[in-house]
Amino acid sequence: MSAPSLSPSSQSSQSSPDLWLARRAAGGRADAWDELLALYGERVYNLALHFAGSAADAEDLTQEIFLRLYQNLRLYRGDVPLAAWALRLSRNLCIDYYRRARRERRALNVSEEVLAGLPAGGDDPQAEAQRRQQLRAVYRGLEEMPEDLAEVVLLRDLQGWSLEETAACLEVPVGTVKSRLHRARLDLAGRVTAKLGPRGAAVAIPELEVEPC
Amino acid sequence: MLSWACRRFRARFNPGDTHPHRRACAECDAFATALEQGARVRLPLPVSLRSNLQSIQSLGAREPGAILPFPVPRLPMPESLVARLRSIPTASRPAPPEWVRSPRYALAASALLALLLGPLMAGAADRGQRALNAVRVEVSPLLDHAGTGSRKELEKLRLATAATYDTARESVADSLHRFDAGLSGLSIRLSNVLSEDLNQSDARHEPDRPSDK
Repeated sequence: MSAPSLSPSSQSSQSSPDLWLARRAAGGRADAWDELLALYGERVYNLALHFAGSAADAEDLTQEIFLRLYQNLRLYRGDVPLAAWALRLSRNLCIDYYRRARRERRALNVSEEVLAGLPAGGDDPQAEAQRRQQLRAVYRGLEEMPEDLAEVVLLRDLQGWSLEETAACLEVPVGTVKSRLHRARLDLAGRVTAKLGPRGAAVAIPELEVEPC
Repeated sequence: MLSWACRRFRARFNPGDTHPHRRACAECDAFATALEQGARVRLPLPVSLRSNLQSIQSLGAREPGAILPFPVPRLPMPESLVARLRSIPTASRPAPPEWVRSPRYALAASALLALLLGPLMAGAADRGQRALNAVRVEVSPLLDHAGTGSRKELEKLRLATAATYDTARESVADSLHRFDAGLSGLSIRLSNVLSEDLNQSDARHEPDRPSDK
């Protein structure tokens, strides 16, 4: 299933189907609720996996997010993407899970579970091993970063959310997301450099000029 | 060997069609049923293929400066979680309050209602009788008055009708009498005229009689 994403030009056209879907689901239509789950369930679950740090907690978190979403569907006005709105409703919950996972150093497990889902690297096992190493380094770097910076990288770069969705979820303007994202990437590049060395970091974050810490 | 009608039906059949031939031919009905059952079968996308396809989709969405040169894989939602999420609308539907569900509360509510409404209901018959009497006292004179007035008016109407009838009857009788008298006079004059004519005729023929001898 392809994840629905929002480009700036398509935001207004996307919000209407979301609103229609939300209205039908709030009205008790089982098919609408199933459609909503099919559209956003996987995205929310993967994000919950990063916040919660374990599959079991991620399932609980996903369920709580959707429960809150269902209870508040009538309040949805369609001005922001539905997935971002759902996350905004449960932001404190996600932050609680995230802090608990960080305290218990469980966030490392996420990368292991995600690594298991990496597509096969073909005939080059060295490249595949390198990718795993890079991903681990990025996750470790995220654990050490301030929450607001880690959050924006998580949503935008690791989960592939659009700028508009990220801004709606974090309740900040798009410009703030961009600037915060830039700072977060620089911060993360420094941390990855410290772990992998300048060469490894340059491979992991090729578009940034990484300066050694 | 299939008949021409069977071949034509099978060649043009689409699942869901209700062609009359289908009802007429059991073999073609079985053929159509098998096709319809086959059309409903949908093979699930293999997990590995799905993951690879998702990575292709995400790869196209990478932007310059993203922290990883490859997409982070997305994990599919566990089936148990999907079932839990699907049950949210039914599970989170508000249950009826305890006083509705419990028979004890129902009995207590009935007793309370009987206590509160009992005195009111006990005096209802007396109050109804009093109200009926009051209505009778108020309405009976009006009815009597209306009855008396009506009887007078009816008597007047009857008298006027009788007088009009008598006048009309007398007028008709008088007219008939005059007509009868006129008719009698006319008859007498007519008989007189006829007898005179006969006498004159006899007188003209009398002198001729001796000459005939």
